[in-house]
Amino acid sequence: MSKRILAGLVCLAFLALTGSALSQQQQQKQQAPPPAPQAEKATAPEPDPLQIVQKMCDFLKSQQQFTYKAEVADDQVYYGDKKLQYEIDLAIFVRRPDQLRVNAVGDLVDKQFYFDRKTITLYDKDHNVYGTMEVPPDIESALEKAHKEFGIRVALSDLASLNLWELVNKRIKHSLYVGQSKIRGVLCQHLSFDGDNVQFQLWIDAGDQPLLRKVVLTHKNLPGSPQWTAYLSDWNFSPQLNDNLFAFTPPPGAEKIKFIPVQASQAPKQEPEKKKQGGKS
Amino acid sequence: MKLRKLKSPFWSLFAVALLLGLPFLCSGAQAPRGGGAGYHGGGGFSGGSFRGGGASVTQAPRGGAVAVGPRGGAVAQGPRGGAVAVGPRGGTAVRGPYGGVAAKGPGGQTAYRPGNYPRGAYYGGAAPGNWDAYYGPDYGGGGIAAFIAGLAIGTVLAALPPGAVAQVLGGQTYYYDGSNYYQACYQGTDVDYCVVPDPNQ
Repeated sequence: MSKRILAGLVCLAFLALTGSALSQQQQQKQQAPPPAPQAEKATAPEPDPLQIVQKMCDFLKSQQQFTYKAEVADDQVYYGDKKLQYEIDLAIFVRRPDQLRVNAVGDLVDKQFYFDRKTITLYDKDHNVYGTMEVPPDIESALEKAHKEFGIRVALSDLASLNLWELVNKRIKHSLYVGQSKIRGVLCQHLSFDGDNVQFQLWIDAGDQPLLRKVVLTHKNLPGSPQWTAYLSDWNFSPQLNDNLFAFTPPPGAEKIKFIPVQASQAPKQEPEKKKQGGKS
Repeated sequence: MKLRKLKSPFWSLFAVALLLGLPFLCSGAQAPRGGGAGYHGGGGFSGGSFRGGGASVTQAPRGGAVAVGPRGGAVAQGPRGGAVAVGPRGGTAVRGPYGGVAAKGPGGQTAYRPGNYPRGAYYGGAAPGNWDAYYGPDYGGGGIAAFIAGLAIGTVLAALPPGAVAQVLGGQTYYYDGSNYYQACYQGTDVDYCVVPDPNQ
């Protein structure tokens, strides 16, 4: 009797297993539509992520003046790789070829960046100080000089540069088309790029205007891999821009301070001693 | 009393967890807004740049590795600087390349605050609700600023030593801590303090 029962149980188990396997297959068939797009992507020509970025760059390049905003979340890493995320609101105003203004107000930041024809000014409201430097009279050369000579990089200001594509392309080691994604209700192409130390994820509007809608930069080689995330909005290509917007007038009591040149500060005075100690002798 | 009424141990555990977590959440309300920043970060005002190369945030950890960073390295090894500069993981009182605000704990002057904070203590032990204990660097020793003496001209600090007093000379603000004169200066887009020659000489 017990053998029969056992055999019966084995049969039942077998049926149950095959049944479930079959039903799984059926389910998989029924579920076929969702995975299908991926399969199609594999066979159909996949959108070229670099091409999408280039379109975005070309589109911005063709605009004479524009404004946009960004809501930024910036990770700060603390002891034990704990992270806190701080907010920054950016407003950016571009008028080619030689005017740019960036306002940044956030938890830890309150700064205004001005480029007005031949001068860059950076005002820090928290300290009520500003620095100025003479620069060439176009956005690209001005930003380049500020970066190379004084280590100045201003969030998302590169979108105003005619060299945007070159700047982006230069750093990309690997690119990936991730898929379509909605960013705050707007259908976008989600792209991912790897640089040496930074992974860029870009979400570019899939509509008529290939606008940047979201950026995530992951500093993958830093402890805690902090991310810098921005949602871009309020793109306006026919703004009313007043000249005053780009001209800096020092607020009462504001003090002028110096920018430290990169080269000077990159050559620490103790470095040579260290080398000697290192046993070069 | 209400806890007794809870029937399952799960709920009582949950309630205890909630109670324990409450101060943490509440103290969060006054979290490090107003100056605190970590060893390094995503870039802040300088983040979201597509420019690479050089000593960028992408290559040089901020703060944590200041001692070996292209900027500020000098200070970490400066005169009596070892004591001054070395914190956990080499975190220093000096700002790293483009701005790790290693020296500025929540509240802005943590790096120079004397005292030991227990590592990893959620509530700071001796200083309940003090975020420094949890998020701030543990400098593992006494007051740092007291030992900053005779720094080289051009040295850059992320924050002024305590006791540095502002003086206006010739329309410029200087800070003097009894040993060095400092002036605000931009390192990248961050406002730091540079050691400058004695303006009275």
